[in-house]
Amino acid sequence: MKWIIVAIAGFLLQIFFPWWSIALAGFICGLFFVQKTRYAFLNGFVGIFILWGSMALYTYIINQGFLAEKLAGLLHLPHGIFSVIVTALIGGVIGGLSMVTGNELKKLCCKEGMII
Amino acid sequence: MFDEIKSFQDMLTRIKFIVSLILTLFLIFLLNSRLGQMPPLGKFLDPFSGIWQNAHIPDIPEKLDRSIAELHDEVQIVFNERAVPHIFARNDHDLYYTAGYVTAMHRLWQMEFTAFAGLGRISEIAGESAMEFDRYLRRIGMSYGAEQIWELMQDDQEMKAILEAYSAGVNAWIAQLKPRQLPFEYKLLDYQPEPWTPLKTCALVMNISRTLSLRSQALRLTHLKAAWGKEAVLAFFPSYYEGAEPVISKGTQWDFAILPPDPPEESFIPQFVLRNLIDDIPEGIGSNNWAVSPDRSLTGNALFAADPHQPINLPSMWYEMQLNAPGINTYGVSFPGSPFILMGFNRNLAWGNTASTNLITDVFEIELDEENLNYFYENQWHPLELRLEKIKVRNGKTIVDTVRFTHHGPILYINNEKPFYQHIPVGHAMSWSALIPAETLRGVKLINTANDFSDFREGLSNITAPPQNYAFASIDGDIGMQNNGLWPLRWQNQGTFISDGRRAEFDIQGFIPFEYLPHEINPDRGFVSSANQVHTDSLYPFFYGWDFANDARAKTINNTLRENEQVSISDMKNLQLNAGNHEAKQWLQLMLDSVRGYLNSHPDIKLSDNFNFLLDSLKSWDKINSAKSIAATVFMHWRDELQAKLWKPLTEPLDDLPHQRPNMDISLKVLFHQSPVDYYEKLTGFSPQTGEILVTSLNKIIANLEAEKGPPGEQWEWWRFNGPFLKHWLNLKALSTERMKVSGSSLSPNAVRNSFGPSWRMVAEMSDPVKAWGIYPGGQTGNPASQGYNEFTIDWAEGNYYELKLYKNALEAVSENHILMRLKPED
Repeated sequence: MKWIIVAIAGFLLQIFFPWWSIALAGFICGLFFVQKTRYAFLNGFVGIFILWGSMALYTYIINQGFLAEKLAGLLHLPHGIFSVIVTALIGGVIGGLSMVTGNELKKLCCKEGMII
Repeated sequence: MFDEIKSFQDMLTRIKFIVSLILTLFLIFLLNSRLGQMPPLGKFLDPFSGIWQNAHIPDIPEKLDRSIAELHDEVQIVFNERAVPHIFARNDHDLYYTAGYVTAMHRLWQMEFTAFAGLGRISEIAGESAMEFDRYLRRIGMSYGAEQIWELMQDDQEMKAILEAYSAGVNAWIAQLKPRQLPFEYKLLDYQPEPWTPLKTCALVMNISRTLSLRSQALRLTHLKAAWGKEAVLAFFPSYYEGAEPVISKGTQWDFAILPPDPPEESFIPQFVLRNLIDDIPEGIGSNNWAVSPDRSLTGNALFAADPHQPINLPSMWYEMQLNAPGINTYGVSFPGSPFILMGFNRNLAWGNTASTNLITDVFEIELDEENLNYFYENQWHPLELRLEKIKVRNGKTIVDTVRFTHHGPILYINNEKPFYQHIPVGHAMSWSALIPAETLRGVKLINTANDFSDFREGLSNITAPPQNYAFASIDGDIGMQNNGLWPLRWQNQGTFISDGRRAEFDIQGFIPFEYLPHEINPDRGFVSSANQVHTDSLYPFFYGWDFANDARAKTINNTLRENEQVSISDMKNLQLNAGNHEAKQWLQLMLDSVRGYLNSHPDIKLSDNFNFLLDSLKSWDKINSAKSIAATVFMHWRDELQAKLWKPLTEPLDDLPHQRPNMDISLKVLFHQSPVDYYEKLTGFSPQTGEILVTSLNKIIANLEAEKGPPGEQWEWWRFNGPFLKHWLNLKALSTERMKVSGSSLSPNAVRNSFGPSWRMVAEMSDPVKAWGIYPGGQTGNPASQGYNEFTIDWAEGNYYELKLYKNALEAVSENHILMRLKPED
């Protein structure tokens, strides 16, 4: 359930900083939780995927898909809902990669806690 | 052994760290950058401050009470259910400040974008691809003209203060915007708004002039003259001809104290090889307006109607509002970026304008010296005035361009340059009366506060460009039509062809005084009307050009008004929505008779399978360009094809030179052996083969349509070829609308045609108080993420109108349950 922490960290950081602060969230959480690389990626990915995806989905619903449909047109996507999915994916990839970065740095700095 | 594994693990971790770090940073960089036309995807799709947040921007702000230090007094803004602001202020400063504030609230991106277009600054947004367009705009003098207007205004403290207050209001709105509230298009194109300035408002004045009056066919006609001779060209492109329906009542007598100048004794044969000419106005630009006198109106009050036809953009080129302060109370539509109501009404009168395409753009052949620093005029060399234009290119360098001015006006392109539009003449200067600075904005303000026709005319006398037909009606029962602008005083046909820039006798000799411009008040026929057709009959003493709209719209309007002695408001609306086709009414029977005659005498002719079926549908056609009519589709294609076929023998030798065909009216006259057919016969050596031309062209377009759309059926319905669609300023399909099933044509009063059409429809009954209705396609908010972006469009397409309310005060406005916003000066 580490991804929830990533999501919360991302949410808090984005109140004050631009969009790339989700990478800070992933990175910092990576420093805290030492885990296998693939789990680090998965937690970072899922955390931001859920954060961005649910925010976009919320907008999608209250706006009745009006904006999402236009975004789909601009980005050449087949349906409005894909705008939500693409948004979540972009956030997720940055979240995942940044969490791996933090995770690997932590492993390098304090080798004792390393998991083989 | 263990150590080796450990150091291998160690290295792996190190590699993983470095790879993921680089990948993360690289992706962030990539997703934060604009790639080609793609927005920076990470920044753009970020649901916290990217584009998703635009869906949370309300059309009317949630924070209704605001303190603003710059205000002198409290301002109340009442929004109706369509988000139209009714602004109630206690002084001019606060009124125009607030007009800027609310316009920016709804249309910030559009107003800045159109101002940039007016100043030739699009490259700053679009990059290198727009550079030549910007250069063109600078060369025709757009930024120069805007600067001249603003400079002239330095002596008019009142107007200067108004434009400054408006700018401050726009900037106050920009200042309180949070990054997540940045309008849609800024996020899409990844740039920031800059402060608004009065110069930008002046640039919008130049935009209107460019759209409506920068136009010359001199180059095309000069080529035709070389091929056909002057007499034939003048006969085929007449400034007035029998049977035309002018704006001003036929037979009007004019008593003028001045005469047109004499033509030069020696005519001019251009020496340069020419391939190009200036802007074309696309077919579809045009407008209707009319007013009905009290004795022909059902209720005994004067009636008024106006519907300008322009590009129907999203967001709309119009922004609806009411302006109320001591000394002013007016309602209507403004251009976002300009503080005044351009078309609308006040307590006393209603007004609206239509483009009048009289000639105010002249083209002069200029001889330059080798350094391109002097030009030859009256047997000596004169220095050119040079103006340096800096064009900033996004992510690139600043390009410095030189615009060369003669006393006629700017030289568009010098001999070794490639023009932006293929049809702009190289080595020529342009004289365009819109480049003469004037108090146009003061004129518009005077109209906003006019009490009667004389105030109205005084306002118009300040508006020097573009020339337009202004119709008006008052609660006193007066109706009138007045033209405006600097109309060059011409000898007969001066400016029809390219002029000699070397000789003083070809100069513009001055302008027709305002009092002598075409106008009429309370004419005997009981109505005034205009639809971009020729202004006057042959009694008017001055020549003012020949290139006017087909008068089919004018004939439908005038005939309808002549037949109806008790015009009601719903008659006025129905006439605006009328899709009748006067050209078909006038000519179709003749065309069909001629087809029948030809078929009877040529029984063996091979025709497409559907020929007879479609011929029958034309016979039973009601001559209305209804959305679902197939006959309308056939007729409209047929007329274009027969025109091409008729003139082919004469235009074919000119195919690789700019040229044009005589208009449809003249073409049909020639086809049916009416004047000026004699010139046709002289030039070709034969008479037009009417029946053959009609049958072969009809057969050809049927075959073409079958190939394109299959057998006649749903796919042939007229709206599929002509139905209107709204186009976003950036021409992005996702932000535009689909084609709509709407009746009309460029020949009908309801002049919808692709991305053109009635961009504002208004009718008014001049009772006391005035009752008015209006609508434009689009919506008040320019936010594409809001449902309000496009909320009027369906009603517009269906021909519905909204009631327009000119409230006396905020109390009255609020009593109708609207939202009240209060702006207060800080204590």
